[in-house]
Amino acid sequence: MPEKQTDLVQGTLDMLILKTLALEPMHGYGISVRMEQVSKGVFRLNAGSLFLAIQRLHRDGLIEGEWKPTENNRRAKYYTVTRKGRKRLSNETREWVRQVAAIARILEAS
Amino acid sequence: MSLLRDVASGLRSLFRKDEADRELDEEVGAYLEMAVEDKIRQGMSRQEAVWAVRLERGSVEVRKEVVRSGGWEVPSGSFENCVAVCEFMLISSLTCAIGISRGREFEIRIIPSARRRRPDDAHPLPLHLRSHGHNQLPAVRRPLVALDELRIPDCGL
Repeated sequence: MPEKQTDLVQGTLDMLILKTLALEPMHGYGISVRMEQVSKGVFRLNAGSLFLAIQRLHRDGLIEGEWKPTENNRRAKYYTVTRKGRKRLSNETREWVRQVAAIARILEAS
Repeated sequence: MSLLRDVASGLRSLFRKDEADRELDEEVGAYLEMAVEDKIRQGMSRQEAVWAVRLERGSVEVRKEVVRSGGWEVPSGSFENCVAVCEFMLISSLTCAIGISRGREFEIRIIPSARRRRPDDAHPLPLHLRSHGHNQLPAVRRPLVALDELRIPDCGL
C-alpha cells in the first residue's frame, strides 16, 4: 500500500529529476513513474510541475532531450543529464545532505 | 551568462513559438497517453483510465498553459510582437550608446518574471463573468519586456 502522498520540499524537484535522469535517459512519463516508485508513492508529480521543471533544466543546459521511439512504438522525448547537470547534481546533493544533517541535529537536540 | 542564455532562449522561443508549441503538445500528449495505457493495463476501461489520469495529473490544456507561461510569451499578433521587439532593441541600444558616450557605468536589467502569469491570470475577467458573454475587454498592449528598470544611473534616464 502506498504511503501518504505529500508535497515535495520546495526547490528539490530539479535535484530529484536530475538524479532520476542520471541513472538512465528517460522521457517525461518515465521520470514521473520512477519518482513515484522510488518514493513508494509518497511523491506523485503532475504533468505541469514536471514539464515546467524539465523546461527550466533544459534552458539552463543541465539536461538535453532527443526524440526517440518508446518500447510501445510511440515517439517521446528522452532526456539525459549533461556534464554541467551532473556537476550541479553533485553540488546540490552535497548541500542537501549537509542541510538535512543540520536539521536533524536541531530536531534531536534535548 | 545566465542572462545571455535567458535572452537567447527567450528570443528562440518567440521566433520558434509554433515549433515549440507543437513539441510541447506532442510531449504532453505522449505523457498522458502513456499514463492512460498504464491504467488500462491495470484493468480500467479506456474511458475510466482517461478520467483517472485527468484527475491525477491535471487537465491537458491547463498543464500546457502552465509550462508555456514558464517561458517568454508572445503578447498577441505578430506585428505587435515585432513592434515590441524593435521597441526594446531601440531603447536598449540608445541607453547603451548614451551610457558609453558619457563614460558612465550603466546597467540593463531584463525581468522575464514580469511577463509570467498563472493560467487563471491570463483571462482578463474573473471566472463568474466569463460564461455570460462578458469576456471581451479592450485589448491592452503589454510590453514584451519590462522596461522600468532600463536605466543609466545619474544620467536622468
